[in-house]
Amino acid sequence: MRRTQKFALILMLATVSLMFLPAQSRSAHAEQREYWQVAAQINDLFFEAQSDLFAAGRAENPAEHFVSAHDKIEQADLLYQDALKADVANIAPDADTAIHTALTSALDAAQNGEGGALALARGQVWTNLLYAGYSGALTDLQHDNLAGAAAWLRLREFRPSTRLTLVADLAAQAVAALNSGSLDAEDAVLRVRNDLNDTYYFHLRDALNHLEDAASKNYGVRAAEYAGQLQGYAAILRDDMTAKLGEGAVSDLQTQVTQLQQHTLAQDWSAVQADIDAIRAGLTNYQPVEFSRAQIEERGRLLYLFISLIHYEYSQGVRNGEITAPIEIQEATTFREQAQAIFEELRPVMSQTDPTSADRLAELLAQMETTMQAVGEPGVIKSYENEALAIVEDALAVKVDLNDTESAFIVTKTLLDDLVTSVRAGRYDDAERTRLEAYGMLEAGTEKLIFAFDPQLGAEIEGLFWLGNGDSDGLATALADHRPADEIAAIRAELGKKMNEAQVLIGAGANEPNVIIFNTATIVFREGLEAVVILAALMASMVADRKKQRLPMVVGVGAALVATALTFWLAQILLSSLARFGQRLEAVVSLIAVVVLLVILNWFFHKLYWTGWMARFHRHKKKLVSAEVGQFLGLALLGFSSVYREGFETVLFLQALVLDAGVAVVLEGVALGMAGVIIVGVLAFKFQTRLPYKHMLIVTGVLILTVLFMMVGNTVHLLQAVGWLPITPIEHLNTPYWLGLWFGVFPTWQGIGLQFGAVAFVIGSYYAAEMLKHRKRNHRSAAPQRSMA
Amino acid sequence: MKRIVSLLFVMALCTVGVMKVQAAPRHQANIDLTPIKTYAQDQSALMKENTEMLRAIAERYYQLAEAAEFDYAALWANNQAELSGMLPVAQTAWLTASNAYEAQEGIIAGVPTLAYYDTWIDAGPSGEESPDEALDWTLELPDGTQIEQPGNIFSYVTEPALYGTIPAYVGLEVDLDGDGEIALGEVLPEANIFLGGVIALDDATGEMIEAIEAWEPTLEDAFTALVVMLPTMSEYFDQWKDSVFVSGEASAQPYFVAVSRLSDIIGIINGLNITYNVVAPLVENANPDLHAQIAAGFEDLVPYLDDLYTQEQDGTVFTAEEADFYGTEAQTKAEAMAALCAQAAVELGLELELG
Repeated sequence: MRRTQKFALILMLATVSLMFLPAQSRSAHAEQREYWQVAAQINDLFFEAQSDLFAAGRAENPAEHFVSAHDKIEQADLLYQDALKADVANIAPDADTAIHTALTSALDAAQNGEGGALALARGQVWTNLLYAGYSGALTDLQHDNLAGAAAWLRLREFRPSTRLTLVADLAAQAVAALNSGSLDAEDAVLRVRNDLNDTYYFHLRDALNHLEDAASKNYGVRAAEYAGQLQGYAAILRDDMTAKLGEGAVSDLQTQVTQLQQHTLAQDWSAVQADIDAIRAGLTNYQPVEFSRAQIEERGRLLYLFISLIHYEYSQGVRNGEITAPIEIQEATTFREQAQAIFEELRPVMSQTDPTSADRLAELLAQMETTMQAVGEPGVIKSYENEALAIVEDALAVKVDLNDTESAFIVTKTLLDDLVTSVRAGRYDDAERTRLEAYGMLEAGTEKLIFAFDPQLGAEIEGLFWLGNGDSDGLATALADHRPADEIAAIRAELGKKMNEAQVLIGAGANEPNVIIFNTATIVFREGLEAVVILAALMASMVADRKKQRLPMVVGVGAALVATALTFWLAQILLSSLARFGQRLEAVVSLIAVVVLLVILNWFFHKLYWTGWMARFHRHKKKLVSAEVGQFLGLALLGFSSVYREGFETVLFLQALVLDAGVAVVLEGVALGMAGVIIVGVLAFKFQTRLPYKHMLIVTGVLILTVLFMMVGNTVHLLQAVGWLPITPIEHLNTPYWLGLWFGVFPTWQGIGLQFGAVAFVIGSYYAAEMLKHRKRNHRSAAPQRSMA
Repeated sequence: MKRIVSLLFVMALCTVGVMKVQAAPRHQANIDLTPIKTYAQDQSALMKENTEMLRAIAERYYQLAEAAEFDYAALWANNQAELSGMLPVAQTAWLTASNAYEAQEGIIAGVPTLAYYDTWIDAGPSGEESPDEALDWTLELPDGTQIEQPGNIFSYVTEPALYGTIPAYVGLEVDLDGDGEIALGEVLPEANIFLGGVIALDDATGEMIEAIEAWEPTLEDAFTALVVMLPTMSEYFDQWKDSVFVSGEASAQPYFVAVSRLSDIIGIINGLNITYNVVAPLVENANPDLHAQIAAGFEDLVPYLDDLYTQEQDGTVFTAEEADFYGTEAQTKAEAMAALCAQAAVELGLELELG
């Protein structure tokens, strides 16, 4: 096999291996650790032991059941010792101690047929196993052991679903996002902690409620199990509570839980109720969830948005102290309630920095409610609203453009929820008015964008608002026919899905991570290849005695790589500071990236660039190697400038992709591209392989031309979405979703026109340069003929 | 040779792209969802067979009652043999239809486009009980009486009529089996409500079958059914605790007397288990650990419920506290499974909405 063939094979094997390695290590790890299975078995053995004690209550010979129950607990104890104890003791020693104590007490309880004590122990063992799962997941995540974190996270409880929300495993989603690179480690830890804290705080309060209910029914065994659970849930939240409530409050809580357990076993229900009340009072100001800055801003924008809608709706429904349009009042009420709910979430955050403003905002929201209930003057609501908005702006540093598309989507969806509520209450006329308002909100601008980017999706959304699409009904028809609430809710759900699609279509453009990774890898590989070609040419003559001249070049290359990384970091800081400009920032950066790409491509296809550029480097080198003084520094600078120039271009270009898909995804592409560059570099320098540079440069040039095509499409799309470029849809042209996703093609004249224009510019300028070159050559060859003549 | 190398190089770059796409969880392989639909069709066909039989019996019963001028003592006196044979058959047909419905309820109630039929046939409360949540439909009886928002047809209309748990729906209590005692369910139903209710049940079943025929199952439907229906255990266990099967004679609940709510729960879980088995290959492909945990959940929950039901059938009378204990256990298991199914949906790139 020739060297060139070997090179291609190695490159392919290396890239494919890069894809497989993480998955293999993950699965091997997961097979070793099945914490959830062992914990479930222990819990089931406790359950069976409890069933034995219940059965003993009906049996003629209860002792047999006690023996059976004792056997089950022994098995649970053995299972714990064999399969879990070592890891639990290592990760959460407190949990191990609590489990050991509870197992010992359970053995006695089972033997003596004490159902309450056994149930208490079960509650303690289970929740302390959860405590181990909690600690294990967070510890492994902080040590970048994602497989370990995922294994521990399978041992957990969830917040149950409600009428309005589905149950979700947000922590697992965060770990998966971290694994795929769409989330950074810090955010992932925060999300996992928040999800688990929120879940276990819910279960702590739920256990209190169940305990209260069981006590009221004199269910001693059930009450004891909930009392046991409280101990583990409180242990899980102990650190967070200590940080937020102080050590004194947490110590009081532990004392109260211990007392509650004793009172429950004694079935002293009045004392139990007093303990429950005391625990609830101690937890009044506790908020388990921490928000990232982005989450605070997101909620802050929603809070601002909902507050800003209250007065308008209210003023439409009230005239001279009387309600003239109840539906408007209902909508104003809905927006105020939404604002209240978001404020409750944000209040602890606001209180930390500006407690006075937080209190005042709480008062304002309460005053709005009171005024609306009393059918007060809209002007009063307006003054509350203005003050509340000013507080949100100052305290949370957020400002919302009420005319942007994101706001339109949020408000439209909220109105549609309201519509379903009206239908469920049998108020079809109100629902119809809400439908018109929701449609009006969308039609005011956003719908035009949807039709421009995806006419079919636009038609489907319009159909669902009005008369339906094909076999499916629209809201207008369904409301006119007074269809059942479930049918209308189903249409609203379908509409919600379509609107989500539209929101992605308008908001983000082609941000599929795989596209971004591929594009990043292509550009990094291409720029790296250029650097390798230049360095290979410069170092070709540095052999034998001159080999030592390579060292300063290598130092320069290393420094350039560090400088490139530094530039990337600085660019990140700059962009983060401008993040509040959202889509507008993305549009500007994308525009810069397109310009950079155009310039790069223009160079790529011009032989002049290569010959001129290479000649300049060679001249520079020649001067340096002949110089006596400063040779080392000079060669280092040459190595530095050869690489940093490519690095700087790459950093500039990559910023647009970072804004689109996040740093982690882009870095994945950088790693892939760099892997290719390193392989080429090793082959070129270490093995002195003669690589087909010209062909490789042409192939990568063509690939980058494709990237340019996509970038121009997405940039035009963004400029149109923020209203900086007009939209002229191409009639009767429906582009499929994948064309937009992979190539940034959307059916507008501006988008497609500029995409082809950019490609034509690059190719045209190549031919123009070639033509110019021919003319010069002809001119030169013609000149001597004339003189001869 | 240079061309070959260049070609291999491009292939290597493309391999990177393709590998990334394949490694991404957000792809959906082709999977045949028709077994879910076929299962629902089979159960609803069995249900229809029995509602038709029930309708034929109710029509004959109405004829006899009309001939006796709705004098139920005279009806019983003149037709004792026929009625003693006919009404137990009607109860069996009702039970079979009800069980067939419960076996598919996990799918019907969980799929947004079919959920309407669950409210109408089996799950909706009456307007009297819950005006906001009651389905807005009218039950029209043969004598022209119209009942607005009567509640679901199985529990609020036909079961109380056939088993005599609502006094207004009873024509006369009689010793149907001739054992000298009048036990629960030994009644002559009030003919109007019986026939009106059964016609409504048969018609609703027919409409539901048409809706199932028209339904094109999607992955979203399958996962919505799993995520929405799995956590409904607590509601069913609460009804079980309050029913005659746990509370005995003390129960004031006029519903769920013909069949234990445990049987209904098992039917729902079996339907959901079938649904999960259809989509399981996708989950296993996307995340084998997650699939293992969900599959283990079904392997645990199904026998758990079967065992409980067997104990009940064998004559074990559970205390209310025990029923709470067993119900909470099942609910906890089911909630965890629902969360895992929701996570599986996320990993498959599905968006589930409650609507």
